[in-house]
Amino acid sequence: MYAIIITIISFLLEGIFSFYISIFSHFWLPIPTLISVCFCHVYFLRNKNYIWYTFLTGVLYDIVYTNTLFLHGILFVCMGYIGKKMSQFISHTWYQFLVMTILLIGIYRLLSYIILIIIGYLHFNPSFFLSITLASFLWNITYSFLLYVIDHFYLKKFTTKRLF
Amino acid sequence: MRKRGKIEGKYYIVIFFLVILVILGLLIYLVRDERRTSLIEQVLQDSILFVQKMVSAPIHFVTDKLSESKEKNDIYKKYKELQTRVEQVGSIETKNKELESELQEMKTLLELNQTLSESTPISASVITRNIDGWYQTITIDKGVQHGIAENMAVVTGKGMIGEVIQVNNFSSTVKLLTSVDENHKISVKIEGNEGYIYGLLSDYETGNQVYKIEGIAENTEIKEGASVVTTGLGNTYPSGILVGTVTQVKKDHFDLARTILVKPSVDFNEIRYVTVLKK
Repeated sequence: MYAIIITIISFLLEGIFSFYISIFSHFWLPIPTLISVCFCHVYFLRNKNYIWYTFLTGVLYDIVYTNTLFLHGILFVCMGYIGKKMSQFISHTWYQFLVMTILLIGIYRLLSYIILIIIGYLHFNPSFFLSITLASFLWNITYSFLLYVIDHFYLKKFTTKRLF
Repeated sequence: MRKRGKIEGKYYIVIFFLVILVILGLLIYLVRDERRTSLIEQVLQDSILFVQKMVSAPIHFVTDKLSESKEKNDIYKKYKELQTRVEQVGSIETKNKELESELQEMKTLLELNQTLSESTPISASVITRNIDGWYQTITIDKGVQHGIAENMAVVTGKGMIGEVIQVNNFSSTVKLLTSVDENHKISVKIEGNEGYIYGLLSDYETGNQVYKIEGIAENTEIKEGASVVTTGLGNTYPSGILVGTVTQVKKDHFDLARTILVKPSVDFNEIRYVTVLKK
């Protein structure tokens, strides 16, 4: 349930923030839905449920925000899997968590850019890719840190409570 | 047994690449702008956007009130400006009549499909924007039920912003002009010393936030600050909608033609209300 609440809030935040952030911002490009999806694997006991959750969130994201049906469905599953694998190799301290977030944002941007170029949606422009990727770090790292703090506080109370 | 295992491993690689190819093929089909959305997609998008609208309504209310109070401070200045304009109405009306007759002549000459005056405006407000970086789209709160259809031009009070690419029952997706590229060029005309100069909007530089018009002949004279408007050629954009103003005229890489940089007339960060031009 916690995962779903976080995702719904992040999903709505994505739309609300879009009004108040410059369309070609050099500093702030929020992708809270992706951050929440990568982060929420800790709330799932079964892999299968987590994969379905990432896929469905991605498809909804596509329908509402991007008009590229199934692209984010696939991307979110990949990112969820990578996030889960990464978290197995790091300790859950805040700084390692932030390093993981930076890597995940970088991988997400690279993957989505490569796919969008292959399918002909975008043209190859490395400086555009770099500017978008760099602009994605600040806001999303802050958001993931916020999620980490909330989770840290929450898990201290309910460490055994896993809902799926 | 070992050999058999190796063969199976090779098959896995082949299957893996085949799956990737199928997924990419599927994505190519699905991300086309012309793709018609299914009923499930439409219902889902409409319902989620309704929730989104409800959630963001109080936030927008507060920000609107804040900007309203800011505007109130300038109201006297604006009133004086309007007074001066009212005095000029008489001369503008005469000029208008002259322009109308010229327009009729031009339409016959150019065989224009439509002009701005032939479009019915439909007002809409923006529910959400995609600021993910790659996708330059906004979603508005009007759809098929309000008479919106695909490929309709979308404008604001300041000029052209894009075209409708996807329509649901109660919402539509608008592709912004900032996503203009080599495959989606837009026909425009630039105010020159000796009439209009025709060109194609071929790119948008995200760094400088300007449109690019390439391939303008070397001998044409274009001044900075000249208006760039749509030509009406093609099926989407009616003629005469302001796109922006010329900020720089420079030579291209081969020194054969000119490249013109155009500053958009619309601030793409401030799009809250739009008008869809119904054909």
